[in-house]
Amino acid sequence: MSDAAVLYAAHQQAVFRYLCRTLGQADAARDLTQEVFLRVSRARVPEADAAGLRAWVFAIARNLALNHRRDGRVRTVAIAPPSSTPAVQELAVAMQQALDALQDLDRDVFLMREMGGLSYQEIAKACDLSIEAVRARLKRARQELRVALDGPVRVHRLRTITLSGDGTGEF
Amino acid sequence: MSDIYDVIQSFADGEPVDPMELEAALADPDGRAHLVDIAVLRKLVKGTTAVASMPTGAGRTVRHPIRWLAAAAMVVMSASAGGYFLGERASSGLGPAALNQPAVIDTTGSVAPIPPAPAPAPTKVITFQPGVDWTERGGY
Repeated sequence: MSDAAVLYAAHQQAVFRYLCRTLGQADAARDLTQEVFLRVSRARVPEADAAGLRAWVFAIARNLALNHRRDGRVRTVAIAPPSSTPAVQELAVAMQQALDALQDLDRDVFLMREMGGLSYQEIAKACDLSIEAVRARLKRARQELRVALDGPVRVHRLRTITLSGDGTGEF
Repeated sequence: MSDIYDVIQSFADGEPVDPMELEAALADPDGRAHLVDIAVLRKLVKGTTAVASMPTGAGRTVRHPIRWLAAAAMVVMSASAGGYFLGERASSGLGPAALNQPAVIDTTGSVAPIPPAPAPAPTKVITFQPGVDWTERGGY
C-alpha cells in the first residue's frame, strides 16, 4: 500500500469530521476531503513520524478550507442530524453560529482538537504556531463558546457526560 | 505555577500535566467547573453534527489520476482494436454470411482447402418465351 493510501486509511475520517464542522456543509466537506487526499497522493510525502504526517495532512485540509471560505463558496449552515428533535436542531444552529463567531485560527485550533483529535504539538505544526499559542487559542475559543452557549451548557451539565477526547465523534 | 484553567484544559485534552498542579486545580471549585464545561462543550460540538463519519464504499481508495488515464487508454485501445478487426474481416470476405459455413477441422495436420458453399436452391423459376408481348396494358 502506498504512503498516500496509508494516510487516507488512517486520517480520512478525522479530516472529514474537521472539515464538516469547519465548512458547516457535509457535501462540501466530502468533496474537500477527497481533494485533500488527491493532493496527498500527488505530493511527495515528507519523512516524518505519525504525528508529523497527521499534522501535514491537516495543514493541507486547513489550507483548502481557508481557500474554500475565501472564495465565498461557504455559507455555513447548521448540520443537525436529520432525525433530531427541534431542540437539538436549535442547539445545532446555536453551535454553528458560535463557531462562526470565533476567529478563523481559534476555530481551526479548537476543531482540530475536538473533531480531529490532534495533540497540541500536531495542531502547532499544522497551523504553524507554538504549543503555547495553541494552548492560549484553545482556551480563548472555549471561553467564547462557553459564553455563547451558556444556556445549553447549563442544561447539559445536568446530563451524563464523558471526557473522551479521542476525536472519534462518539459521546 | 500554571494557571488552573491551563492545567485542567491540558488534562482534558490528554496532554501531560504535573500531578501536583492537577491536584491543586481540581481542589479549586472553578477548576472543577472548568473541567465540566470542557466536557459539555465537547459533547455539544460532536453531538450537533449530522455526519460523524465519511461514507466509504468497499475497497474505496484514493482516486489517482494515473489510474483514470490508464482506464481511459484501455477503453480507447479496445475500441480501436475491435474496429480494426471488424474492418479486416469485412474486407476479406469473412462477413456475417461466411460465419454460416460449416467449420472444417483438420486433424491430420495438413492444410485442406475449404470446399465452396453450394448455391441455394431457386425458389421461383422465370423463363423467357420469345414472341410473348410483355408490355403492360391498361385494365390489367
